[in-house]
Amino acid sequence: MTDGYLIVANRRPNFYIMAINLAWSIRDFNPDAKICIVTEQRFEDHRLKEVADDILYCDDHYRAKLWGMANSPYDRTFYIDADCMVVHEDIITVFDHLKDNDMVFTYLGDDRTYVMKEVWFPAGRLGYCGGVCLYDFSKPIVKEFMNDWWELYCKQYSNQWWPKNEIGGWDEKRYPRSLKQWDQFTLWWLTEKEEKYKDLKIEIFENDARWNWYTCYDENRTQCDAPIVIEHYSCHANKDNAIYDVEPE
Amino acid sequence: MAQRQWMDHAFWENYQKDRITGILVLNHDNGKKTTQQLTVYKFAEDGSVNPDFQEIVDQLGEEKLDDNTTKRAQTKAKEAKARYLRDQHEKKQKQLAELFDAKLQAFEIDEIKNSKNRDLKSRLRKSRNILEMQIYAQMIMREELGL
Repeated sequence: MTDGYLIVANRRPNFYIMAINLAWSIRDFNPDAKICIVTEQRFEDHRLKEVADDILYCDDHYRAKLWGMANSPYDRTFYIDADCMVVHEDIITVFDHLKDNDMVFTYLGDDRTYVMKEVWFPAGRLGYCGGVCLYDFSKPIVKEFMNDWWELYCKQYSNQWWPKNEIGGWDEKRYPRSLKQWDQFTLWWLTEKEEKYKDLKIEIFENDARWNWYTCYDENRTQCDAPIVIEHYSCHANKDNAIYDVEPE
Repeated sequence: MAQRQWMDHAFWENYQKDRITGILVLNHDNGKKTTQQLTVYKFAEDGSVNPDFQEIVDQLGEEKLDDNTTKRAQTKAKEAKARYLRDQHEKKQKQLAELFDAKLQAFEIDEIKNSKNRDLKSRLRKSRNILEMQIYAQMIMREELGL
């Protein structure tokens, strides 16, 4: 049984830099960790091989993270968004949280919705947050799930799939098309509506905010009862102004 | 002649209780109604008692004015605290984001990027403010440049 961390960085050079930084921040606390970085070949420099045990090359798809998750080289995998940083030694305990579950997520609780762009929609509410995900990739059902998550998201994003209404058209009333961009919506659909996955054992991290602490969280509004393990900079990180430039291909 | 009525949330402007702020409602003979917020002083320039001031006190009573003033002070204090917390939070967020960006930039400097001193690089990564980060960045630079 191999345990390992998975980071995906594509599309923007800054994500690559952040991914390298995240990987080293894991090693700061867990020097022997297995780390896989999924990235585009054009970003690669000497740092990649220095920090990553495994490298997968992806394309520039908007949610290549899902492809990466579906191709993890590890049995028990902890996926972390590239714009995160590990800041506490408890990272070494993360795989203990899997227990006998299939997947473990953090949750978009009501005390956090103020930082989210879209949570509620007429037919439901996005719940699990895809910023980090601990999953047991040794189980065939989880492998299948990860593949379906990726494939369904691709269809969703490229307008080939959307939930149907009673007359067979796209149900835009209950599922507004603004949700199209979110892989969390695909996740919601698969976990809430797909018969095949109704028995999946999905858990929320205990004290989950500490495992995916968005730096835009307001401590006065969002509870975190233990030291933060992972800081998530998605609200603030400089994603657009390149820290360094990659020549266009 | 318009009928004058002070809305009942008027309050003392100061501890001396010689200044009141309130909203005066004027019901005009033609059925129109106008409202205006006024701060009225107890004493006019010639030392006489301002009839507007006396009118508010007579209409609402000192006890009601006291009560309104206390409630208003409590609300203002609550708002100030919320504003303070929000400002602190925004400041902290900004600092964290700047620190994160600065670390990434530091790791793009060739000497730091290529340094094999994992301990110092780890310290740089873990630093919790710009100053601490700069110190470790400098230490790595000095080591790399043999200074």
